[in-house]
Amino acid sequence: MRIHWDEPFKISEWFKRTISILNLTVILIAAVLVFSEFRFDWCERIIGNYLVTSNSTRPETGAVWKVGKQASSAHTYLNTIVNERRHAERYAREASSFSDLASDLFPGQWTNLDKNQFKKFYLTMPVSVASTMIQPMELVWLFSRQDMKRIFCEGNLNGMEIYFLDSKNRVIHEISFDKIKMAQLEKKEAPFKGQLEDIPGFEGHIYTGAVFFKALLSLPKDMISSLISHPEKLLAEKGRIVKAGISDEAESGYIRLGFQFNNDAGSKVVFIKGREWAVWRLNLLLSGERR
Amino acid sequence: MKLFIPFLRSVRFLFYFFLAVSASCIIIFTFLIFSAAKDLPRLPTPLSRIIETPQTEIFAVTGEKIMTLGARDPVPLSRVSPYFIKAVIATEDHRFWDHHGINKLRTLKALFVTLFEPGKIQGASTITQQLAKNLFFSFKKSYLRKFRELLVAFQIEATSSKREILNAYINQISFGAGAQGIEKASQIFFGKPAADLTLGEASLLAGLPKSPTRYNPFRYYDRALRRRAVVLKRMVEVGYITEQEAKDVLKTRPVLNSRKGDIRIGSYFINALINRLVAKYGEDVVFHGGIKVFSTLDTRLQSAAESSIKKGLEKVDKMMGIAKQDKIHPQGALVAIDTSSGAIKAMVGGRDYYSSEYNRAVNSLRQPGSGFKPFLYYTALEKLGLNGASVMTDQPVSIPVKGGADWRPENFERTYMGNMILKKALALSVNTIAAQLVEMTGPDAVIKTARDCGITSPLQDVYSVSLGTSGVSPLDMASAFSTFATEGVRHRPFYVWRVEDPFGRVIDEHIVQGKRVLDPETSFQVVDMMEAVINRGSGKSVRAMGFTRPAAGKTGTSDHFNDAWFTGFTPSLCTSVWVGFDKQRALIAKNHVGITGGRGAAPIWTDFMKTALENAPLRDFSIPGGIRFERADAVTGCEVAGNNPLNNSHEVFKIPLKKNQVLCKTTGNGLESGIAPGQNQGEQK
Repeated sequence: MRIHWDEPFKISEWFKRTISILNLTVILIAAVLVFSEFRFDWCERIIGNYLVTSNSTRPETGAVWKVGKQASSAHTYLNTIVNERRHAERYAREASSFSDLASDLFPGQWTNLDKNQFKKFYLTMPVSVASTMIQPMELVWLFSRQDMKRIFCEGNLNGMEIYFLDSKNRVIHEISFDKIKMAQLEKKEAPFKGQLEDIPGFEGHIYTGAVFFKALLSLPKDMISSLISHPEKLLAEKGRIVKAGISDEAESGYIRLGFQFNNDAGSKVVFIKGREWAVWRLNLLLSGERR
Repeated sequence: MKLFIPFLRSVRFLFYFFLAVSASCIIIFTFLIFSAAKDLPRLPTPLSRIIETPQTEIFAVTGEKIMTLGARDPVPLSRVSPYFIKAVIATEDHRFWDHHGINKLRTLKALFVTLFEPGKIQGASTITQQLAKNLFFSFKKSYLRKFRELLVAFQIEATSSKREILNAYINQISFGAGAQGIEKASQIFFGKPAADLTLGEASLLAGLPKSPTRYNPFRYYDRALRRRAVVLKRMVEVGYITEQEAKDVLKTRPVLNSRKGDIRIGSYFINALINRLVAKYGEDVVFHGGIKVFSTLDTRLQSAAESSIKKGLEKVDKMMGIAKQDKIHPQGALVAIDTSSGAIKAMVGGRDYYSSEYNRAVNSLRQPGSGFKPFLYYTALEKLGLNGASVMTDQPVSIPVKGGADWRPENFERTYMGNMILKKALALSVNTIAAQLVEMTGPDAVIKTARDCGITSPLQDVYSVSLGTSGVSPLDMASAFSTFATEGVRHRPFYVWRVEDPFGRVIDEHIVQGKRVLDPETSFQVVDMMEAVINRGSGKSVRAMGFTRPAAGKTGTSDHFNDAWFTGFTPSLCTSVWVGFDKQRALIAKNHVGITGGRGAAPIWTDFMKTALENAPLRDFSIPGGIRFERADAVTGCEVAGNNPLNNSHEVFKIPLKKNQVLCKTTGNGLESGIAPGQNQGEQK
């Protein structure tokens, strides 16, 4: 469509056209718009209200959201640490032995161990194995000390460290609990199916039951109790002792004694640890007997 | 008529042109809004959520809170002084109550100035726009960022009341000096709640957000007052106060919080602590996790340390003739460690944290000079079976170095005193005897001792390491010397006793674990020698300054007087002090005499230790069971006969000896007290 427009040739026509209704309306509307915007800020309000409608769909970006995310990530991390601690505390409550607890504690993970729980674990270990951890009398003294406030266990690659702490977190005594070493020690304590001759370290020191006990019983009574402090282990076994032997390895002041029982099921060697000095006395006697 | 026609034509053209331009602008503007709106950040609702981030608190061992990270202490408007509200509105946005996010006239004016007056930029941001910028946008200037900021401001105005906006604004703006939010600022600068601010104080605070560092009243008080005058002028212009009120306020000088020092006390310590926490837990946990950190810092000792360093360095300035207005001043560092645990009780890493945040106590490795000798003496005593009475000769030495020139160390005074016992040699810090000892022990053995004691800095395996030519940090020195104080039991230095999560659950705690690294008897023998350093040797300025407690230590001065050290300890506290320039420059006094550890660092050490141990019970070093004491002549090393051997012809030292050691007898190494090893070697040759 083409609009035909003629330029006015009279000034009155110019004025007439300028002050036309259309022009005046346009100018008036523009003026009202500008004035009302300055007076009522409708433009800002419209934009603001429009943005409110799209708020929920917009991204959570900017410094304030970043801080929020960082706080949330921090809480997640802290909760992880706290949960790990709770797990460790549960392990400590539910464990039945030091080995159990050491297996559950990851390196760096730690927990406090109740004194009674510690005693329980300690007493469930064979005396000789327990003594390699800490001497019973030393433990008695530790528990009697007024400054000993708590027991703190921290997992490591080999097992765990057990710290006896005072109220200022100072270590009064420290025990390194090596899982593998302890397991080996406990394994050594377990009965062996077979004969004494099959066990390395006993060769040359194996005697008949009669010879062994004759020599043993000739020792003073207090020495005998140092040699075999827990004879219940032997009394509980079925069959009779046919051989007894002395190991050539000493460990933490103890030497292993092996007693071979023969019964219907075959041969079985039961181990007991005797005090090193007492075992040497017995050994001397037995060597004399042999000569 | 004909003249009018072109004019009317132009009017017509202009009218339609402006109509077209306006329409285009509206279309473009609308398009921009729709396009920018998609990526605008989401606004949290309610707005108050923005100030609900948890704060990490750091406590001193003495219980007081020494630092809060991310802290805002938000307060409602009703608990803020109306003076401050008026001052901030008058200064930042006087039409705040009337506009809807933008001050159009001011914006147009600013636009005009920016476009038509080159080099000039005028700001026109309203409080709402500033809030939008602080919450969501970076401080990078761009027109697009400005436009997005404007849109967010519109949305904020559409969803929140003016009071909510103002409340959010005043609770999150930064006032500098670690103060974010008006309540925190009021507490930091004036030690009072924001509700109690006077007109003078409120107007001073209202001027800070423009440039918190530039107007920091703690540092630039007069500049801050000039800014306050601007704020007051604006308040008068807006009609919030009368001209007379402004004049009255201008006459006053607000008193700043005198505990300012306490608020940022131990800044170097806190910095080092935060770095360690960040390395262990990450920035999110440290700055946004709301954890509670129970540090080892003792605020009383820290104040004493800061004061001693300040006073001591001012004295060094005076000695060197350095004026206050000079640009380069010597720096200093101090670390104090609890010997029985390794807890760092005080740390100063420089002259002024505000002018240099570089922590010289931890990060600066400087040559300790003779301060390293105790490690050598321990090694020699342990390895060669020597004792404090073993005799050596102070004489020129030349030690062959494989593949290099002979090492010819000289004494500090360039003189030689002949035969003397080791205790005297350490007390007087005789270099030639130290050189002979390291030749016998080997540098690797000395390095091993230093490592065992706790020196972690890299050490060069050369003879001169025994004379302190490898750089170490004051923290290393304090930690290593405290191993001597505890009869050879090493405690790792640490900053934190316990860390708790926001609910008070312990997430970490320090277990104090000592490790025996030195023989207790030999260690005691070295401590005894170091006591002689303080009582009658190179560190006797300590006694001259009135420090009477049992103490041991060693001075150190590096080549050309670049570094002055003093590290010393009592049975309970070990402190290392270093003084020197950051860049290689000698500490030379006005009279051209070099400043030694005894002159530069020992006075700082003494001043600090006197205050630090003010109320502590007097304790002597415990003597290991196998030690007995005998009196030995300083030259022959033999026992001095008679009950009163102190006469003019003898200089006598009390020497601690082990069970198997006697005076004047050949040791297991063929060395004999009374005959210097150098002489022995000569005879053998």
